[in-house]
Amino acid sequence: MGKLRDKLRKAGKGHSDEQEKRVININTGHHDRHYAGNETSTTKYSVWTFLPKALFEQYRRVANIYFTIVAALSLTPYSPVRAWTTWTPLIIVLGVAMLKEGIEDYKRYKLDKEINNRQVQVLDPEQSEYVEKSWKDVKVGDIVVVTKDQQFPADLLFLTSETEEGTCYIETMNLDGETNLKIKKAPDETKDLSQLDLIKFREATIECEGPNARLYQFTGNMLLDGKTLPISPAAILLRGCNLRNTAKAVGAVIYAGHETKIFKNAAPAPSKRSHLERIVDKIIFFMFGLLFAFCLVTSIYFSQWTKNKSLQNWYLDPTDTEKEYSPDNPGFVWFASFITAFILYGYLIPISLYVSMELVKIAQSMGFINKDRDMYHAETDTPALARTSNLNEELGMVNTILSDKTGTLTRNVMEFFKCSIAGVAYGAGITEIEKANALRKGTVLDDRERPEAVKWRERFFNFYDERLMGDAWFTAKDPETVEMFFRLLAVCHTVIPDGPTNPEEIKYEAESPDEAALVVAAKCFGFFFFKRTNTTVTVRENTARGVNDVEYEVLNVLEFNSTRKRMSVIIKEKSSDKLLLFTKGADTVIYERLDPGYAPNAAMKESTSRHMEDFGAAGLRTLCLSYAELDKDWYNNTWQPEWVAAKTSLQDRDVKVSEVSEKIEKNLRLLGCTAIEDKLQDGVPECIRTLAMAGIRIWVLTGDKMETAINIAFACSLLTEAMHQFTISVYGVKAVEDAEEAGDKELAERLAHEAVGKSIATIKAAMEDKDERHQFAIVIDGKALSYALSKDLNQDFLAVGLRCKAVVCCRVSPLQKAQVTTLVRNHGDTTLAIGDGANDVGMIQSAHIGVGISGQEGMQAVMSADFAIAQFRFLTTLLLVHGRYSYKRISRMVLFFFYKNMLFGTTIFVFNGFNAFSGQFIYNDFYMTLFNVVFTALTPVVIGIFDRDVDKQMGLKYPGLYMQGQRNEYFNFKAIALWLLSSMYQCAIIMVFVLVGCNSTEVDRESGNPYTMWQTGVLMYTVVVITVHMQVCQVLDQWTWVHHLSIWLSQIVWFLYLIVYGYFPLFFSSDLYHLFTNIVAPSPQFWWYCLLVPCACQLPDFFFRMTKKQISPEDHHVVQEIQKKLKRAGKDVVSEAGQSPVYQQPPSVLAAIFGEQTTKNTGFVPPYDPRSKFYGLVSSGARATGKIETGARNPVLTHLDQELTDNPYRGKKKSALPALSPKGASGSKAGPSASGSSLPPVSEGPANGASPTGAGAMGVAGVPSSAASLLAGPTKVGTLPPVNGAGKPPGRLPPMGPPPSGLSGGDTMPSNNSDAPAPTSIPMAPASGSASLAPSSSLRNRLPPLQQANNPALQALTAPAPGAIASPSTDSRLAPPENANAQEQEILATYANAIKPTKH
Amino acid sequence: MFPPGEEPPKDGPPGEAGLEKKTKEPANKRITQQTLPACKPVLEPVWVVFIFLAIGVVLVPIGAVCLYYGLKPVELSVRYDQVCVPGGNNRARESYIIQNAADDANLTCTMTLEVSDDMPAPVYVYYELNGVYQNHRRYVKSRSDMQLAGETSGLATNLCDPQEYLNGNNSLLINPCGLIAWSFFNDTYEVLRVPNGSGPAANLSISDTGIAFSSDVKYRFANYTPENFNPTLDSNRGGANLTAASGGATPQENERFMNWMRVAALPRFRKLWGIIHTDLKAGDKLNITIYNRYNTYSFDGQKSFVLGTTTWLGGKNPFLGIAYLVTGGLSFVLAVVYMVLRLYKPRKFGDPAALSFNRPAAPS
Repeated sequence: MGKLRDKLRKAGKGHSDEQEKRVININTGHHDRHYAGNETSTTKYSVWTFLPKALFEQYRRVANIYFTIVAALSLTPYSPVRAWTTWTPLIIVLGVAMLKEGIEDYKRYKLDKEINNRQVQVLDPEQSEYVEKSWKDVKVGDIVVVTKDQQFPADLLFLTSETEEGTCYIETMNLDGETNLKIKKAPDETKDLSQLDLIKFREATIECEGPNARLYQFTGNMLLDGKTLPISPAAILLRGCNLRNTAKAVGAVIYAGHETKIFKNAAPAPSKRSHLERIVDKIIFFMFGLLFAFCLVTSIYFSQWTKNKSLQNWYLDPTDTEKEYSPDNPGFVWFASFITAFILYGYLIPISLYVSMELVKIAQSMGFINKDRDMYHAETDTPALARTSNLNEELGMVNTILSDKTGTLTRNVMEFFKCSIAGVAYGAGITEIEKANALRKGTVLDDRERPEAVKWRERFFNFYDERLMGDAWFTAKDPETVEMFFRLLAVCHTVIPDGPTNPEEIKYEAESPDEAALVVAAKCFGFFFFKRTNTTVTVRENTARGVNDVEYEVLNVLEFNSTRKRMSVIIKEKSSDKLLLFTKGADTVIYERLDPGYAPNAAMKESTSRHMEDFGAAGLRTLCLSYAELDKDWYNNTWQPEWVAAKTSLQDRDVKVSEVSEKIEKNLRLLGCTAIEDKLQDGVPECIRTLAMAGIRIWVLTGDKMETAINIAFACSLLTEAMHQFTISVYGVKAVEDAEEAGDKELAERLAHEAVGKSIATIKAAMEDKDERHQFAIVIDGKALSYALSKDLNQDFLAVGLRCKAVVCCRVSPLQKAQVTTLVRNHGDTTLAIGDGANDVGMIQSAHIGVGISGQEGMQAVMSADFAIAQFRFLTTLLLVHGRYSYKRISRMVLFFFYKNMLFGTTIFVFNGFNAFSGQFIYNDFYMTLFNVVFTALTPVVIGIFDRDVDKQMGLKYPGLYMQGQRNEYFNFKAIALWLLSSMYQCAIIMVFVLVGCNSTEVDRESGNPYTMWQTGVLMYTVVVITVHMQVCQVLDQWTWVHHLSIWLSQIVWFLYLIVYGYFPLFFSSDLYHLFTNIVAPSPQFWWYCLLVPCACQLPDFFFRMTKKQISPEDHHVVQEIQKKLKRAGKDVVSEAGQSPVYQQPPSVLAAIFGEQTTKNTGFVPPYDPRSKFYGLVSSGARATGKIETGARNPVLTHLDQELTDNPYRGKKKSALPALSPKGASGSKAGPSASGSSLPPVSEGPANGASPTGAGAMGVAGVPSSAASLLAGPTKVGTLPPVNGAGKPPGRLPPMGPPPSGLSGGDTMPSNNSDAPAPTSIPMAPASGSASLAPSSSLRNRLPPLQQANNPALQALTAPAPGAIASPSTDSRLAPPENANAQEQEILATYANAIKPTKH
Repeated sequence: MFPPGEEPPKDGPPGEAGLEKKTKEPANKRITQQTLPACKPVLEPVWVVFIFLAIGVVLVPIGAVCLYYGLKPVELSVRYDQVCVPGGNNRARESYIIQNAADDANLTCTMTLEVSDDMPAPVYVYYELNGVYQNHRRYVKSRSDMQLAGETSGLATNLCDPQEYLNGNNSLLINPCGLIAWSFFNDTYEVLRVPNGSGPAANLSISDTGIAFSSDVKYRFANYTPENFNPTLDSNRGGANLTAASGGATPQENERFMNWMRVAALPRFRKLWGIIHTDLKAGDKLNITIYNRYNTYSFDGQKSFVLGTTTWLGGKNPFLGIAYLVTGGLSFVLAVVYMVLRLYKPRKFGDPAALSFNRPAAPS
C-alpha cells in the first residue's frame, strides 16, 4: 500500500518535473492562474476528505478489514450475535484511531495557518508601494522584500539588496541542515535597481524550468530590455532559508507554495515498523489459522449433525426450517455454520490490540520519552523527541549501533588547541583523550588550569603558551615564520565577520567550525580579521612593528573540496605589492607540494610531522599551513588567464579548476601546523561502556583519518585494550601499490580486493575458535570497506563484523554509511543509526531506528530520524530505560492480549461443542463484545504504559538487563507458546470446573433451582474476567496506584455492569434482565466458584513462575531481588543507583572471569589460549613470567608516554624542562636502529601492515580517502619515498608493560615511566600484509623478523604482485560498490552536499 | 516525601520568571519521570512457600465445609422413559406414545422409590432430561422475551420462527411464540407415599408455586391468556398447553413453564417441577404415577424423575467440595515440591553472580 502511494507520489512528481517551462511576468499584477499560489497545506485531510481517507488508512491494517468483514457478516441471518454488538467495538476502535489522526492533522492545520498568515512586504504595482501581505496571498511574479532574519516566503529570483555588490547572506538550515551562511548574488543587471526602479520594473520576463526538487540547480533566463540574461542558481533564494546579515533583499517570486523546492523535497516522515509488530502479525496469522480450524471443526460437525441427527430432534422443528438448518442441504449448512463460527470465534483475534498498542506507544513516546528529564539538555534547551511512536519497543532490542563521529560522539565545537610553528610545538593543554588514556594507565595528568591561561580562553580558543601569547612571540624562535603563520590564519579562509568590529564582540560566520577556530586563533594571537569585502580582507596586525590595519587584496580563492583536501588564497598585500599564496590543508597534500629547494622546509618537515603525529594521537584535528611567494609576471600573464578560462568553462569545470589550481599550489614553504580539538561530548565514554555492557555492538562510521578515528575510539572507550583489534586496509599493501605505480588500475583493484578478502578470511580464522569472552574489534578504512562491501565479500565481512564488539570504519562516504547500515540491517540485526548531519541521513533512514542529534547543527538528520536526542550520552537512557521498558511493556501487553483472547475464545469454542456446534454461546452477546473493549481493555494498556520490572536506575546500573531484549526473550516463540499454553490449560480448568461443577442438573441454592444457561454463562464469564486479572497480578512487577485502579476497577465495572444492565429495559438486557441480582448473586455457589476457579487456574502458573525464578532466574528477577535487598537495607535505590557511575557497577564480565585485576585497566589481555593462532607468536619466555601480558597497546598511550617526556609543559616535568625542545628530547631518545633524521615524512609512509599502532598508524592516517586517492592518480603515490617496513624511530615504539624475561632480542632502554620500566624496541619486520592482529602488535615487535613472517595472517597477505594504482574499474565484482550501479550514483549525488568539506 | 533528586522543580529567581516559562525543560512529574511510588512484591522463597500454604489453608477448610454440605442433601432418582412404555426399542416406544397420545390412561405408568434417608421438607421434585439440546442456537433464540412479558404491540417476533404463526398463517400469531414454548415439557407426576413401606398410601401434594425465580414471576412473564399456543396436542411430540392442570393458565401463573423457558446450558438438565412440603422418612416408599407424554424417543433421549433436598449450598453435589480440597491439597503439594526443588538447587537471594551477564563463560 505504502509502496503504491510512493509510486503515485513519484509519478506526480515526475509529472510536474516534466512540466513545461514557465514564463513569469514580473510585477504586472496579473498572475498566471496555472501557477500554484503561496498558500501551503501540510495536512493529510480536509474536512471533506477526512472520513474516506482516514478510513482508508485504517484499513491498511489487516485486522480492521477482518473485523469489518465480521461486522458485515453479522448483518446476515447466520450471525449468532446481534449486529450492533460487532459494530459497536469496530466503530469505537476505528473512531479512536481516526480521532487521533484528526487531532494530529488539526495541529498541522494550525501550524499551516500560522505560516500562511505570516506577513511579508509585497510591491503593489497599482499603488506603487510596498504593502504588507500574508504569505498565502503572495503570487508568482510578485516582488517581495525580505528583511533581516526573515524567512523567504517563496522561491525568489534575487533582484537586489542594499549592498553595493547586490549580495546577501542566507542560512539554509531548514533546507539542508547546514548552518553556515551562503552568499547569494543578484544578477548584475538588476542589482543596482532602486525601489523606484523596481516599481517600473515591469518589462522583465522570466523564463525558467518548471518546478522541481533539485535544490542546487536552476536553469532560466531573464528577458530584460530585449536582452536574454542567464540566471545562475546563485541568484535563487529558496523558501525555507533565512536572510542573514543583510538588511533587505528584494526578489521576484518564481515558484510559490507547493511548487517551491522545499515542498518538492518534502519527504514523508519515515514509516518503519518494529520487529515486534511483525511478530504480532505472525501471531495474528496463527490466530487466524486457529480460527479457521475452529470454524472447520464447527461447521463440519454441525453440518453432519444437522444432516444425521436434527430430524429426530423434533423440538427444533427440523422439517420447517430455514436453509441454514436444513438437513437436506448439508453443503449450505456447512457454509452458513462456517460464517456463524467465523463471527463467533472472532474473539480469538483481539480487536482492540492495535488501538491499544497505538495508545500505549503514544503515551510512551509523548509521555515518557519526550518528557524525560534525564534526556533534557539544559545548555541547548532541548528535550528528547520521539518523532514516531512506532519504534519504542524496537529501542529495547538494538544489537548494533552505527554512529557518526563528528558532532555525534564529539561536540563539533572546535577549539584551537595546539600548534607547531617552524618546527616548535606550542600549547600545553591536555586533551580528554590523553586524560582518558592516562587514567587507564593509572597515572593522573596535572591538568589544572594555569591562572595566566584563563584570560586568553574564549570560544573556539583553548590554547596557552607563554612563548606565543601577547607580544612574547616577537622573541620566539623564528618570529618571521610565526608572523606568517598568524597572517595565514587571519587571511586564508572564507569566514565572514559579523557584528561590531572589536575583538570582543565580533562574530564569525564560517563554513565549518574549524575555520572559525583558526580565525579566532589568529585574533587571539594579535591578527584580528574584522572586515571582508568581495575583494579584500582587512586584518589588524599586532607585530613588532606596532599595530596596523593591513588590507589584503584577495585575488583568488581556491576552494576546499574533499579531493583537493586543501584551500588556498592568493593575496596581494596592498602596501608591499607582493603576491602571496597561502595554502592550508591535509599534511599529505601539503608535504607533496613543498619546495624541495627551500632550506627551512627540510629542517621543519620532520619535526612538524612528528608534532602532527603527536597531535593526531591526542585526538586533535591537524592542518598543515604553508605559503609561497608568487612571481607576479607569471601570475598575471600565465596563471590568471588560465584560471579565468577554467573558472568560466562550461564543461568539466571542476576538473579544470583543480588542474589549474595544481599549477600554482607548488613550491610551498612550510609554516607549521595547527591542532584543533573537537571535544568528546560529555559522558560519551561512560555511555559507550554502558552500551557495550548492554551487549550492543558499536560501529563508528567516520570520515576521519584512521589514526584519529582509532584514538577517538580509545578515548571514548569504544576500543579497549582488552580487545583483539584487527585492521583492514589496502594502503600499504605492497603489491597493490606496485600495481598502482605501474599504472595498472585494474590489477591494483583486483589485488586490493583480494587483499581485503584475505584479511577478512584471516580474521575469520582467528575468531573461529574463540569463545564469547574474546572481544574483537575491527578497524577498516573507506577504501577497504568498499571492497568489503562488494557482493562476494560482504557476507564474510558482516560475519566478522558482527562478532566484534566494536567496528571503526574510517574515511567513509555517506553512501558507504548507508550501505554498511543496510548490510547489518539485512542480516536481521536490529540496527540503530545515530548522526547529526546531512551526511548521516542515508544511514539514519536505512537503519531500523534512526536517531538524530538535535539542538546543534542542522535539522536534516533530525528530520529524517525517528528519535532526536541532544547528546550521544542520552542513548543510554533512550535504550536502557525507555527502550527496555517499552519492549517489555509492549511484549507483555501483546502477549496478555493474545492470552486473554485465546482463553476467552476457546471457552466459546468448547461450549459450542456441548450444543452440537450449533453456534450458540453461553454468554450474552453484549458483554461478550465488551470483553475486549471494556472489561479487559484498561489493564493491558496500563501494563503497556506503567509496568516496570525494575526501577529505571537499576536498568542503567545493570546494563546487561538490556540483553533480554536483544535476545527477544519476552516475545520469542517460547514466550508466546507459554502464554498461549497457559491460556489453554486455564481454559480447560475453567470449562471443567464450570461445566462439571455447575452443570444444568446441579442445584445451586436452597430454593432448589438448578443452574440455567445464562446463569452459568455469567459465572463462567466472571471467572474468566477474574482469572485474566489474576494473571496480570502475577506477571506485574510493580504496583502503582494506576495498576490498582485498572485491575480492581475493571473487575468492579464488570459487576456494576451486571447489576446496572440487569435493570435496563428487557428489550436491551434480554437474558441479563434481573439476572445477576435475582438469580446469580443469591447463589452461594457462584461466589465459591469465583474464589476457587481463578485460584485453581493460577496455581500452576504461579508454581511454574516461582520455580523457574528459583531454579534459573532471569536477569531482571535477580535485579529485582537486589533492588529489594537495597531497599531492605534502608538504602534508597534511587540514590544508590543514581550516584554511582553506571559503568563501575556491576563487575564486568571480564572481572567475573578473571577476578579483580582486570578492573585496573592496565593493559589487560585475555589469558593465554594455546589454540589461538596468534598466541602462538608469544615466546615461551613471555608466558613464563606468568604476568598478564600487555596486549594491544593503545597508540595514544604510546605517544602520550613520549609526549610526557618531550613536552616541557606536561605533567610533573613541566618545571624541570621548560626550555627543552621537543625535538631534542625525542632525538636523545632515539634508538639505535633508526635515527630521527632518517625518518621519512611519517604521514606519507605506507602503513606497514596498516597497523594502527605505533608508527603504522600514522602511515595509514596520511593516506587520503578512497575517493580522493582514486582521483588523485598515480602522481601522488609516485612522490612517496619508498619505505620498507616501519620507518619509525624506535624511541617512539610503545613502551612495553612488564618486560618479558625470556626476551632479549630487543634493545631496552630506561624509561621514566613507572608503568613501563623497560620499553623494548625492534624494527618492524618488513611485511606488507594488510591485516594486522593488533594485540600482537607489541608482541610482534619483540619477535625476530622471521617469526614475524610466519604469522599466517601477514603471510597470506603478502601478495607479491606488481601493479599500479587503484582506480574506478569497470569490473563490477571488484569495483567499490559506489561505482556499482547508477542508482547508487544517484544516491551519491543526493549526498553530494554532505560530502562537501565542512567537517574536515 | 521526594527521594533525592526528585524534588519538584525549584522556582527560578523571581526576575527570570518569564524565561522560566519559555524553557522546554520537561516538568518534574512522577508520572512522566516514571517514578510513581510502587509496591514491588519480590517474593523470597519463604514467601512463596507461605503463599502456597496459605492458599491451602484457606481452600481446604472451605472444601471440607462444602463437601459436608454437598453430601448432606438426599437425592432419589429414577429413570422411567424405558420402562414406562412397552416396546423393545425407542422406535416402538415412540409409535406407542404417538398412538396413545389422546389416552392418558395408556400413557400412565407407576414406579416405586424407596426413601433411603430422611428427607426433610421441602423436597424438590425435578424431571431430568438427557439429550435435549435446549442450548441449540436455533432453539435458544426462538423466543420473544417481550411477548412473554406481556408486550403486545410493536413486537418483533421473527426470531420465534418457525413457531411464530400457527400453521404459517400470518394472522395467527402464536403467543407465547417460539420453539421453546412450543416444546414445553408435558409429563406430569403424582406421588403416593407409603410410610415405612407398609402403611396406608397417602397422596403427597406437589406444589407448583415457588418453584420459579421470583424475578421471572415478577418481571419476565405477564398474566395473559395464551393465543394460538399448542391448541391441540401434536401426537408426534410433547408440547403442553398452558392450562390450570399443567401448572397455570397464563405464563405468569405457570411456574413450570417459566422454568422450562429458562433454557439449560447442557443437553442433560433438570428442571424444578414441584415442591413436596412434607418430610419424608427413611424407609418410606413412594409410588410415583407418571403421565408419560413427552416424546424423547425419537432422539433417544432419557427422562428421569428426581426427588431431592437442599442445604444452604444447594443440592447434593460433592464436586465443589472436592474441587476445593483438590486445589487446596495441590497447593500444599506444590509447597513441598517447591521446597524440595529449592533445597536441591539453592540460590542466594539477590546475588549478582546469578546474573547471566555476570556468569562466567557463557557457552553458546
